[in-house]
Amino acid sequence: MLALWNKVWRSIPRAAESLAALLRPSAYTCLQCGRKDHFAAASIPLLCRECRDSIPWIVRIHCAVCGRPDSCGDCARRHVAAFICNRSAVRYNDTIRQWLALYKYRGHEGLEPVLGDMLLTAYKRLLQEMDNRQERFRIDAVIPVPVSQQRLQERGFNQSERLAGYIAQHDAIPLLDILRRTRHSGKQSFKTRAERLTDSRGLFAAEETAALQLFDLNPGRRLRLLIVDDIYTTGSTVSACAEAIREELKKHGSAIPAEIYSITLARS
Amino acid sequence: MRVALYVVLLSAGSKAMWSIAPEVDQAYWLDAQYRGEAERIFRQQPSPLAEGLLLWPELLPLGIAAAVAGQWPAGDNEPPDEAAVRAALERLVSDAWVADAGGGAAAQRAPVARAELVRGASERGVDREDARALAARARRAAALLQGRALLGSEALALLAAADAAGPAAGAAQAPWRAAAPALQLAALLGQLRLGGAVAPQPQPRLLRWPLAQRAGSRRLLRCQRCGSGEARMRRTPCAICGRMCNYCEACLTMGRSRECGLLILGMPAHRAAPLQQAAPASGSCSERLDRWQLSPAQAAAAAAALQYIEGGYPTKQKSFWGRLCKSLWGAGERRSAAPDTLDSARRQFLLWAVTGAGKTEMIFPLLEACLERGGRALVATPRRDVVLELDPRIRRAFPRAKVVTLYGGSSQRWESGEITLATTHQLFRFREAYDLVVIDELDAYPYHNDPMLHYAAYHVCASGGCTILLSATPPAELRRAADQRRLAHVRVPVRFHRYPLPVPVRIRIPAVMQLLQLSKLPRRLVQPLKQSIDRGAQLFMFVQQIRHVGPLVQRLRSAFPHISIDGTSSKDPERSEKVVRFRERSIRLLVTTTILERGVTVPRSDVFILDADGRLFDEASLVQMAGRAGRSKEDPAGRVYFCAPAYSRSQQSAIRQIRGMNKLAQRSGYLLPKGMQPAKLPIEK
Ligand SMILES: [Zn+2]
Ligand SMILES: [Zn+2]
Ligand SMILES: [Zn+2]
Ligand SMILES: [Zn+2]
Repeated sequence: MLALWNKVWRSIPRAAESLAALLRPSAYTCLQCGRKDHFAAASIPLLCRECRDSIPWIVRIHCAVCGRPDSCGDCARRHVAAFICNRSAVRYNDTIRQWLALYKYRGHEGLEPVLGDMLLTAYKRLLQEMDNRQERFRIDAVIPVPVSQQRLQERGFNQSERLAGYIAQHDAIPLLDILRRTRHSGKQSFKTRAERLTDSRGLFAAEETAALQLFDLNPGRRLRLLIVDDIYTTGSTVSACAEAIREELKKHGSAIPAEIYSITLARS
Repeated sequence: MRVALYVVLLSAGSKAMWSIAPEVDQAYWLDAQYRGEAERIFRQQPSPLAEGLLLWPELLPLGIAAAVAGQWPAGDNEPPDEAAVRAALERLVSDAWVADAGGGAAAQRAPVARAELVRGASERGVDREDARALAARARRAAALLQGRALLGSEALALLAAADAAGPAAGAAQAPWRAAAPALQLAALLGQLRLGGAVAPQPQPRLLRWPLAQRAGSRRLLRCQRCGSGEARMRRTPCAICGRMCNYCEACLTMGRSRECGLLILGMPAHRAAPLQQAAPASGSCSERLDRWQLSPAQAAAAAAALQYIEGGYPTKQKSFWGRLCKSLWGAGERRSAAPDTLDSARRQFLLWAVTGAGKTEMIFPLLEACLERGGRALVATPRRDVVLELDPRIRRAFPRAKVVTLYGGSSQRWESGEITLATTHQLFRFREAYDLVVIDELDAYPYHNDPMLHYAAYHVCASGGCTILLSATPPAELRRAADQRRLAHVRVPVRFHRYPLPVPVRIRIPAVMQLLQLSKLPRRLVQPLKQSIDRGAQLFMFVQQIRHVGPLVQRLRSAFPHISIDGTSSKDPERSEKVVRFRERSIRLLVTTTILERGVTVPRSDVFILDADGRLFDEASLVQMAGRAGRSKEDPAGRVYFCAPAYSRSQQSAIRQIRGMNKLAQRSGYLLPKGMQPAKLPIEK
């Protein structure tokens, strides 16, 4: 296990470099801290060195289920997992909270490539990890966690769908936007843990017609689906999404066993 | 958002319009009674109704609808031919979609819908009471939004805040659906302007028709709020309008300005009497200045500014700022963001006051003059802490005026008053709103080289109003304009305590990078440091790079173990605590970056600028850093050192500027007589 993580760890600098490649030296405005001393018309994503160094990468995973870097009570308590495991790129600390707020609430979509790149790091690690366990590990489809219609109208985009797009594009995997929110739940951040857990039960459902795309996939012995979200907190959102997908598969009497994984940008 | 598009068929001619509440438009154009009620409440002359409306049968993205409306041919005042209008509308809508997609393949995507003709008012007719109530709400909204430039969501918040304060207190924030009819009616009556927050620059009317003929030619977009051009636009797929849609990255911190989002412009604020035409205030100029207890230099500058504001200068002179705006936006774009027609009506005055001159006191008489005439004044400054510090001083000086203080997160966000104090970014929320605009530190971050903030500062001043630019280090362009008498200005060459500015002394030492490699700090640096420490001064040490702060602090600590030394930078979370401790003298030497070049005033301080030849320290920043020394009456002759291996042009100009000011102060007789100046620096153990 340790050897595996060493290997994974070694891959991180490379990911950071690809990030760096996007982010040429800072004669430009840093996308993140937005210092404008050097007025630049650059539209490619740029971070200054300090912002890059402040990314709290998760380098060592403690809980094999949820990908948390510390020990974890949630997963031990849970009986039936609707999904196999979650992996996250970074810890959800103040820095990441700010970045995500800037992206989601402020609508700084220019940050997207940076976040997408960070998410890809977690995805590549998941592949590597799974490759070691089983042969020919491949994800058949990426499924973003949906936002409510109201949120979509305010924001203009669904961050999970956008981020999922980076994975879909990277490996040419279909992106299936098949889930819908059954009700508009309030802001997650205002709720207690227990509230979140009960609230998200039955919060998602697959959209009938869109979900048919699931059956157009051409999986191997098993169907491997990847749920993508921005933040993993209690796992209730991912669980609810996974359940909704399983429900839909069951409804259509699908015979192929499904494995559901999850990737999020941040783990809180 | 998506809006309704329609063509009004008038008895002579036709025009295309878009609406956020089409039922209001329909009643406005076709129902005489409704129109009558609205015009009565707005006290407007009756205007002709329409023969009919041609409604586009589906909602369109704001950008598309606005493009069609903007390209509608001016017409020939003939009664419109319905078939021709219908054809033109369908073609323009289709062209707009094609142009939006960048021409070519997407042409088929244009909806092949047919417009619907509406002749009469809706059958039920309009309830007079409802019409009256809506018109009253529209009038109130128009009044509340006067002088404002707000995004849709901001306007909603402002109206809600006003309701909460007014009779309908306690009501929940009205949803957009509820506010839209009132806004739309006010817009139809010309009391508001609704537009896309990001939109093409308006074209001269004559050009429209030929341009409209050329499908596929996309016009250049500009953020209508901050003036940024194509370079700051980001085009993303948008779930709100269902197409690729641009938003402005430049003013993102103030809420997202986007192509399918509204920008609501209130009418320009009108004032009781234009500043320069109003009857002169009671008392002579000197009498009016007396109550403010200014130093001779301050009084002279305030008097000059006052005279300018009140019309001492011809208003015909071509505005300097207008041209500055123009030059900043470059030659690539056809129309200047700062229309020439307004220039002659907006005047600028540069108040060039050295660091420590006491510029706040100088603006008091100007604010007073503005208030006496029933005008509204704005003081804008780049930093929030300066706003918070100014707030009590202004309130104390003008106890009877309503003062509104605006910054990110301010509780007075949607209020308006006679004096507004704001951080620079708040200026985007106003348009032609103030008769007197005072822009403090216009050369400082974030104004520095930022055309967007210049645009905001320019547009916030009402036509006929006056803008006072305050700076200790005006940018070269302004200085040139002042020298060539293109820009009215006055210099305040002396500090409030009437001692000359400390002239920087050069010390030739290696760059900080090399300094950190050396085993010992050079004597040439240690000597003056020791002198300053011994005389009991507080020592500012400026460096260029944040990464030099830590190592340098270590070196200095080992060289001067008996005093407390610390460092800070923009990345330091404890920055403000350290500044407090520096002020309280529990830190004696503070190593820092340009972050403290302005605003921080510590009595009895000396200034060491390392790498003074470095790229990041320009003339202005050197003058500002040097300006930290000798600020107090008790220790007016602080010491300033430029430490560098080379003597750069910036250092030369900074020293020349400081000497020049001292000379001017001498000539003008502002300096205290020699005998009153302390011969020697006080020594403190
Ligand atoms: Zn940065
Ligand atoms: Zn776990
Ligand atoms: Zn849009
Ligand atoms: Zn903008």
